[in-house]
Amino acid sequence: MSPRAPLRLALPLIAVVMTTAVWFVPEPDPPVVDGGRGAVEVRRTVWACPVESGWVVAAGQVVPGEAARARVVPSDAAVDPLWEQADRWRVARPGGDALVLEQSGPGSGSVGWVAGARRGAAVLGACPSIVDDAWFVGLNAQNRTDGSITLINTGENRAVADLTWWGEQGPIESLDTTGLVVEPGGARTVAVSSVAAGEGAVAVRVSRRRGALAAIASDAGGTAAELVAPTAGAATEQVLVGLPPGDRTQLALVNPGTSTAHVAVEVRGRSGTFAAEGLADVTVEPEASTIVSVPGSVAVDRGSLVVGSDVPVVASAIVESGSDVARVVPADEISGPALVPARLDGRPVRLALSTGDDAVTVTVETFAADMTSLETAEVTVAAGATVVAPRPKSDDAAYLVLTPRGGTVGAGVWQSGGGLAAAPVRGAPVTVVAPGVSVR
Amino acid sequence: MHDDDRVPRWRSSPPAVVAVLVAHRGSRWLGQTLESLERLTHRPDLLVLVHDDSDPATRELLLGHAGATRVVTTRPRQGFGAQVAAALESETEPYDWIWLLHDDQICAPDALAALLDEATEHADVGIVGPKVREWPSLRRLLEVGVTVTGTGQRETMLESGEPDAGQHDRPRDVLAVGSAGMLVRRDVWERLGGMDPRLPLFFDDIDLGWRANRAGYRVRTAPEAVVFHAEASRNRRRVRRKGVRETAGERRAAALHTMLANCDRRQFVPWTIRLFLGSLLRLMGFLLGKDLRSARGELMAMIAVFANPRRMIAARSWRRPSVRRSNRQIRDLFAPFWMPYQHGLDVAAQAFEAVVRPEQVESMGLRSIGVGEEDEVEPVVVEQPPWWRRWPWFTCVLVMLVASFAAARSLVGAGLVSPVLPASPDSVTAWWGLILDRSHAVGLGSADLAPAFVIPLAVVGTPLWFAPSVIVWTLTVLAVPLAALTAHRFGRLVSDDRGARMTWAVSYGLLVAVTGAVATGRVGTVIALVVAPLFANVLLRLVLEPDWSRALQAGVWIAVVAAFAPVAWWLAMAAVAVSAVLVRSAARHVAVTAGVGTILLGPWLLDRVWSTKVWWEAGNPVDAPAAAWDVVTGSGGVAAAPWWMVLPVLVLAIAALVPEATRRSVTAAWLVALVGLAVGLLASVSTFVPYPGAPDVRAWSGLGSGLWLGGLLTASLFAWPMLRTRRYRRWRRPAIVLLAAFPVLAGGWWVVRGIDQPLENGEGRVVPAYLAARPGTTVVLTGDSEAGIVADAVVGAGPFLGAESLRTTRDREERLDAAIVSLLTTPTRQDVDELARLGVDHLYAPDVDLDLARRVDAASGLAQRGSDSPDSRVWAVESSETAEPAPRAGALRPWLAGGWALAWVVAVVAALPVRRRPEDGTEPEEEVR
Repeated sequence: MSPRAPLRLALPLIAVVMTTAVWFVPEPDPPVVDGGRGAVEVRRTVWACPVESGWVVAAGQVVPGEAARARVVPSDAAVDPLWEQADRWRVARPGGDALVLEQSGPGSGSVGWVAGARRGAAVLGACPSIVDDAWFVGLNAQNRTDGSITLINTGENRAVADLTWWGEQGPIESLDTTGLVVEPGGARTVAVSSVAAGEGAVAVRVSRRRGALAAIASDAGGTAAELVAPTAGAATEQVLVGLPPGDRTQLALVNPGTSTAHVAVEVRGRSGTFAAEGLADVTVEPEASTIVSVPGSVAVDRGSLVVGSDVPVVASAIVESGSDVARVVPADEISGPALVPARLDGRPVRLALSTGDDAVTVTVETFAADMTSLETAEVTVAAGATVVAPRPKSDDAAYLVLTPRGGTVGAGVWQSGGGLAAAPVRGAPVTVVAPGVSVR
Repeated sequence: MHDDDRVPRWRSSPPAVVAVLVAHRGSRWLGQTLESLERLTHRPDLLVLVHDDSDPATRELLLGHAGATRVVTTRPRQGFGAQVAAALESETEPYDWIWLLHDDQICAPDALAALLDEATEHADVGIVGPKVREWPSLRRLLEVGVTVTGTGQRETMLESGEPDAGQHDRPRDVLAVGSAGMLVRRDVWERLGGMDPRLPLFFDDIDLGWRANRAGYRVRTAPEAVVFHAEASRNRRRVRRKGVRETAGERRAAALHTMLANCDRRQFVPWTIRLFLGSLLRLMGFLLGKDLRSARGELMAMIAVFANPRRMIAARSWRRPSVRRSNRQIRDLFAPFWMPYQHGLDVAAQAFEAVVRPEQVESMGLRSIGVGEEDEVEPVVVEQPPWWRRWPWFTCVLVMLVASFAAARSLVGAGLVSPVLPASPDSVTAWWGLILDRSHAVGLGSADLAPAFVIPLAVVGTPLWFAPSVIVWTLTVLAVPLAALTAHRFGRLVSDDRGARMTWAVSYGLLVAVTGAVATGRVGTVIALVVAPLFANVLLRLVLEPDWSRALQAGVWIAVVAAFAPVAWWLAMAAVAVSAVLVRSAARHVAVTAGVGTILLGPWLLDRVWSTKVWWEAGNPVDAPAAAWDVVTGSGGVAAAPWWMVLPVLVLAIAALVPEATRRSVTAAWLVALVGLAVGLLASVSTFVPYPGAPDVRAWSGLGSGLWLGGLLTASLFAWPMLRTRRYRRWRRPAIVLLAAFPVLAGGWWVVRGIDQPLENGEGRVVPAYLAARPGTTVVLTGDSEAGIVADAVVGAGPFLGAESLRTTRDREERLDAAIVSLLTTPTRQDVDELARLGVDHLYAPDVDLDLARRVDAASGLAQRGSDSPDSRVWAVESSETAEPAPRAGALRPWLAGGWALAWVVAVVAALPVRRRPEDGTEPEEEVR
């Protein structure tokens, strides 16, 4: 090699050095919209409640809203101006078939509750907001044949939903409930028996195709009646929080998948979690629903059921007491504020809180109807336990605001005495996760 | 007896012929002219010599000619026709025919006899003209009868410099014959009133012949009669009228006058319009060609003819009594309709050649009449190899063109689109609108200034008016041959080895395909790689021979490339700075180059070139990930070639560093390559945010890769001559294999793969057809809740090339952003109303996230409409709110933008390598002496 050889190689070497240097520079990330997902304050909430004569609807919010507008279905019914007071807890008997309330205001977190009696049986429910997918399980079980699904159009456009049915023997074909149209300002009720008479415990999935739609079910028959809140979807673990004291408890399950589900049930009691005897391996056939009884030996009163499964299922508890029935559906994991009535329709509302692996402290603040804070209590929920929150001391207590700290909790409420009723507690819609948005 | 041997009847009783020779400063030719008359086999009965006493030498020659019947002196400042008329008025002897002669023509001995042969053949022949050949070459044909085109061009129907081989020796009827040697029947002359005094020099012969034809006489050529004409006046080899100031545009005015004076009544209006518009077009052409003298002449001709209706009325009235036939009846005598277009193509071809090969073009004007000295030599016909071997580069280009069409087999139509390349607009109006309008119907409405690259697109696209997509089609489909052509042109400057140069040029041309620039529709990179050799060529010539025109050319090239690929501005400035440092004598010129290349970019400079968006080339900002190795091998693009194809290029370039004799130039090429590599590598690790809130986009490194590989190829070309030396001759074969490997492999890959995917034919419609067909604004929602949603406001079918980078105001963007966020989370009626106020009337989600679709669906005032696929959704915005006015720029915008566009046009025109016509140079007087 001549003495000049290194010089000849200098230029290629520079190229190699440059390339190598860049090799070690991390490659830029793929494009992501600036900001990404993030929580934004909810500026408008809409919920709807089915109403019957004499039923009471309560509306409240975490912080005062800017405006509220109520609509009674059918639209020719008179609307109580009380509903427009977005800065207080209001309770009234709206009449009509349903009440739709639209409230605006950043982070207002408006929620609604409904309570009443049908044929002497108590009903209690959280007024659902617009649903995408709503599952109802265990309808028309145990000879209760008056079950129904109520769809309420909360928007100004025609709403369309598809209803899919499962019975104990498998899927139930129903062309009449596909593409079900609900006109603006209207509501539509589909009797379960009209589609699935004699199918035993029926499960229904309501899938919103277009428009704004709230859905709630009713499990009724004989002298028993209860509102069934929608469940968002099937899951491999669901917690049914706040089982009211009753005479008999059953578990309704639906397996919408195509493989057999093996379900194991645990009970979360006051002191911790334990396996439910006889429910360690419940088999649910694919595309079918089933009802299993919780043995009387299993103490589930005021406790919670944890339903685990190898494939996603939807569960719901049926608690019977005398001639009445209460329905408990999977609770949401509440991380932010949730709003629960202190009393409704003249009867106190009891609150159960449950948590999983970690202990959580929940601040329970009691408010008067004018949104004045009355008292605050700290409720500690041990890991894997269910506790019942103490009753508010003040006679003026109208509602409670729950705020978990250090984790999430599931919550459920019930009323007993003069009829049994239960309902899940949903988090107040204060914030919502929004996708990052880029405009160009 | 054979017809040809038949003796014409006139010989037994010859008609009386008076020859009128008009002289004017013709002493240079007059002696020979008069001598040729002496040699005539049949002489005229009378010879009248006419002159205006403008030149003593001419006068002496005329007075000294013994054969003259009479010498007539006329008043000065008279035209040819008037002088002939003066001569005839003085004639008292009877005569039948008038033979018109110029002082710069010589006649073949049997010229008059042959004319009379033809003139007496038929009774209705009024005028006969000889075959006119060039003097002094004597062989080239000038005229065998003349006619006129629809645009007023004198047309001989001969090729320029066509030699006389007897191919036009058949007598025929023509519209007119030239006045040099014209034989006119006396009664015809008198009936027509002689030549039009309004046409003193030009078009008088055409006018006379035309009038004779319309009067029912035949005008014939007599090719057996030959005269040789110097055309001294036409070729400006003498001053026509001493002391008389030449009238600008006289020739053109005569043409217009002749056309309009002789057209039929029904033709007058359409011909006037056509000629007026044609004159305007010519005027524009002369201005663009910087031929101000011709432009002035055209303007003066227009004024003289179109602004002087009385003169035209008088001319038509004067002709009317003699008219017997319409132009329709003599339509066969006019030039074919396509003749003006052929002339136009000739001019365009010359102009194009002047631009791309300025050193090859001596003049830029109409077809030259003169003949080069080398043409005087008798052509020697030798047997030559077939054309494809005689012109290997031409053959190579043809092969590349065929290969280009084969590679574009999937892209039949002109409308090309890709994720990067938006569709071209339907008409160039849209591009001019972007430049000149104060408000653009783009997205939510924009008042932004158009991107700089829209100006060259609009200017180039204007002749294509309703098919601007042809520009993009040409740039993409023909990118390889275009780049190869420009490279070959540069190669001629730096290499004399034709084979290596051609291979190098083809290899360079293939780089635009290899890097994936073509198939992805990155026209910025394509243009940069096509122009790079042109720029190198001009810059090299500029530093070697500094010239202001070249400085402007280089500046314009910088601006063009930087407008499409902003990062190229930095590269060009680096090249310019190095040139100025290395060649101080050219520093001022190079500074002008830098200035022009910068100033023409205008606001684009701040918006794109000097900003973090410098990587954003023309088109949509599309993510282009590339690793370092991808840059080195040019394989970073979506549609790039396999990495191993460039290995021969790398090996050859490294080997090129070995020979010492060429190391300097090879090193220079390597440095260019390294700069390209650095740019490519920098791009591979760079991102940019095209607009606030948008996702980061990884920069496109293909341009850097292309320059890197181009530099390496050039290094090989520089070292190639070393293979002829004894020392390196043994490496010749391996080197040839390596040099040929890349074009063979890459060319094969290019043709087999094609240039489609992601490039495709289409309209670039981003919304369903029924939304595209209306003028409203649609917000297109793409993405999902995890990666984020991009809300793109589009008008009609979507943005076209040039409109993709226009933005609305920050306020409107923020309002749309807030409305969309709210719609996707907690939709309210207010959100819908806000959309309506922003002018949005539809939402469209082409591949909708079901969760998001349901949220949007729940909004009051959004009604779902039919969509184009099961996965897409369309919502109509139903609101009583009215749209707010779109953003609008200030009243000065059109003027400023127009000035900007004008600056481009002026710079381009000023940079055109146009040279003066030969006749614009020396004074005729000097040449006469």
